[in-house]
Amino acid sequence: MSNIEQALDMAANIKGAFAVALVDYDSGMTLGSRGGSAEFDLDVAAPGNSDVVRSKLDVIQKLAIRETIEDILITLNTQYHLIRLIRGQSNEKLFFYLALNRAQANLAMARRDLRIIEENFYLSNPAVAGNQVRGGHSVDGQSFFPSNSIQR
Amino acid sequence: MGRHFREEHAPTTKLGAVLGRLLRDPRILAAALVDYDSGMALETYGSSRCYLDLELATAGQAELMRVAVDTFQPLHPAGPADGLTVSYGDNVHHLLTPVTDPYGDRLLLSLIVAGSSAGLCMLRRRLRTMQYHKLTTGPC
Repeated sequence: MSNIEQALDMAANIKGAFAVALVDYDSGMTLGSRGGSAEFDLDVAAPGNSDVVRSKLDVIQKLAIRETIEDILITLNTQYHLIRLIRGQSNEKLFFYLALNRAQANLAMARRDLRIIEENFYLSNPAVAGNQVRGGHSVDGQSFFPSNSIQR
Repeated sequence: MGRHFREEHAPTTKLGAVLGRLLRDPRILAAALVDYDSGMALETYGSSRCYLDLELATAGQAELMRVAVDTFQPLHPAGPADGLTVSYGDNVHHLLTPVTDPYGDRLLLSLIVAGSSAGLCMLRRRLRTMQYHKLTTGPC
């Protein structure tokens, strides 16, 4: 089973998830998806959300903020939409898009799960071999929670 | 945002899996699994005796822990590895313990406990025997 299929299956398994896609935000095209339907058309959502990602990246660039977007969380009346950008080389512009039913889902847990799925996907990409495991947070330099710094 | 559950759902959750029967202990008013960085609660449990807004409480607790870590980092570079205890006047204590996460998140186990300091000591002894790795399972 390819990494894309495996990642999509895991994302679709997140509690409350009703649609998930792996999208190229350069072209707006979907590389794979689960759960799209007439009610929730992923062929419309994918290029639309690519616009969202590109807009935000554009704003960040204009503000001269030299940082990456990790995720975007959007809260609707009965849904959450999560966008998780995938680390990669500059020519790869991919993100996971996850739509959750708000009554069943846990946003905090889904965000964490999607982060772990992205990490697995990134690490299993052969082009990434030899890159350092990110593991843990680079927000600050301190080593509190030191046991987390042990590589898996 | 976090999944909030009351006593009857306890066994199927991560907190239920780790704390087990302890959740039915009348001294435990609330428990939560909190993300230190975002302040989001991944899971919360409130006993019928506790009417706190747990989303708010856990956000505050994450903030408390961040202050404890950052403010005293020059003095205690290893950080509060054994956690924080805040004891309030009405014999209620908040316990915050860091949890090791193999996936790299910085997580806290938060417990709101009623009772005397002696009872707290005994509770802490029980907590030391728990299998916290079940709190940090990933997606499947």
